Amino acid sequence: MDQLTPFERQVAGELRTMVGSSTRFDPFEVARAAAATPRTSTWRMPAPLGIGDTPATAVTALLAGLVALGLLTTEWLAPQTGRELSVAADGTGQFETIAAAVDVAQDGDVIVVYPGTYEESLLITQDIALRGGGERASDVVLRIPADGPALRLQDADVTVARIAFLSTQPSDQAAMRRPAIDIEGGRPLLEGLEAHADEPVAFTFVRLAATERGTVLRDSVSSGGVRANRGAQVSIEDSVLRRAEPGAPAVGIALGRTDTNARIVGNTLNYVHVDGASAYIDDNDIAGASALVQSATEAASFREGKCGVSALLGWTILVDNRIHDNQTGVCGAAWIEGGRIFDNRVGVWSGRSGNPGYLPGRISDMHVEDATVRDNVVGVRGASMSETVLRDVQMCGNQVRTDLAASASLDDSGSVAC
Amino acid sequence: MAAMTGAADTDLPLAFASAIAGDDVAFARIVARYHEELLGIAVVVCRDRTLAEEAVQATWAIAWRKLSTVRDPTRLRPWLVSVAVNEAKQLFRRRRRHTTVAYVADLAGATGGPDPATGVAGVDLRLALERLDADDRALLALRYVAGFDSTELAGVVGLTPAGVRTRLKRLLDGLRRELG
Repeated sequence: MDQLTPFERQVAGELRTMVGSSTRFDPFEVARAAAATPRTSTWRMPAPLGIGDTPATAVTALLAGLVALGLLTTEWLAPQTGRELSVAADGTGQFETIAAAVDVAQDGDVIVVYPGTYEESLLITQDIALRGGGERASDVVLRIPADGPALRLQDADVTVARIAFLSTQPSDQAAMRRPAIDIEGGRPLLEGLEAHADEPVAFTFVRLAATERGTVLRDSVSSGGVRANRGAQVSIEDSVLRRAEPGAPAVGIALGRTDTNARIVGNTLNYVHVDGASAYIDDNDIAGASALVQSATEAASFREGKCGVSALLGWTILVDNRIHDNQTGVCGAAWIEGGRIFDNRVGVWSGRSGNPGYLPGRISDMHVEDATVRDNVVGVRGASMSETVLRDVQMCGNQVRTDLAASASLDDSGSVAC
Repeated sequence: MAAMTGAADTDLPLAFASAIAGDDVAFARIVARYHEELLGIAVVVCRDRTLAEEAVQATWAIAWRKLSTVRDPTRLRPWLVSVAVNEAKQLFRRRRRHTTVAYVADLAGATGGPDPATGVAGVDLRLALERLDADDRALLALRYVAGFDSTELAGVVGLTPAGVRTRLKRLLDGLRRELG
């Protein structure tokens, strides 16, 4: 705190005076008192009223009935915030379903879901946390129901952590329509999640829109992709988004519309598809793009649909990524700085002639600087009407170094040995 | 205090792992390491030492039950501090709801004359700090007593670092205006 203003220093001093001098305490006594509380809660929501119920249970059942009739709000029953609500499918928690806990949760509450398999369609609009209570995310499995997403987050600052989602949809189309998590508005934090399908179909892990205040997805593993559109602001960090097995659909991030912004850092994934959005893509490993599974229109419109990074309209900035083993490393128009593009069929493909769906003059400006392009069949290819700038690019081991059919600037490129 | 030193930073991972496994001696070493700091922060939030002690004891009870949810021992301190702040705020609010006695500021230790650098008298500043709500005092405690930077604060209060800086600035500007 060496950069404090004089007033801050005075405030800090006054606060320390309020703290006062140290007091004597016995850490063993404090620890013993703390340890006297059980490590897991054994209290649970009473069952509905039945024969032989105790009077206390009957009162609770009566209150529950009033809530059901709309004569009493659950807020009256649970006015405190910052509580922990436990959910356990085996009945050892306060609630047996997550939905029941969400119904009574208020801003600041934490819902802890204990290991088990749940199939629910949840809508969360409160600023709460939903956390898996297992050692690993896969201990708490939330199956994506047939009629919608497992989790819808609307205008809420929600934390969702350590939960696994399972898609059981039989086809690509059905699975893409029903994402694991559907986000509209708010500022969710998704952390330590997993998402997989029980069949090798393409499915959507997270679908986002209109999150002006930003969504963060990090430390997660999924064989389903992320789709951001309509004003989504998203940061995707340190996650693994790739196909579960060879032959399964490629998995990655699809960004659409000009008001969508993404920061994609430190991930391992099959592809990034930027169509009209702005993307900053840094320090990722992007490999294995062999078939984009987007809409049929997108797949048909994009050259071979097999690009590690496809950069269409909008702004795509690539910094220090490793882009390899794709049909094409980078397609379209991007600013590439540093990084290694290797072992692709085509390293960098500037321009997309033959595609009538986009403005070719805009989409074909490729700038590559300080990167290494090596061991591809074709290092850099430029289509007609494309403009390619290569500056200080190390190129070696490519069967065809450049195949530039249009205006190109090759400042010092290839002059440095790899 | 019993003849026990808190877990040094180098010993912390071991104490942390042992405490998760149910070792209450290891847990006591963690208590010894952090109790006083948590108490100081809670005093600022609650404005009452008895209430603060209650909040910190509740914090340790939560810590005992949920220590395993802290995945990294280096995150233990910020986690404990944020739990203590939340407990202190809740206790303070609960107590205030059930208390009609007007609060009398404790001015013990407040400095008298104006600070030559700011022109603000310590007594006036103390009164202004006492009048803040618990959320604002918690923010100041985290920043100036716990020494959290804006990134750490962001994790606790659920704002972005920029949002934290803005809120702190507004808070300090408000205090400054109030004090002329």
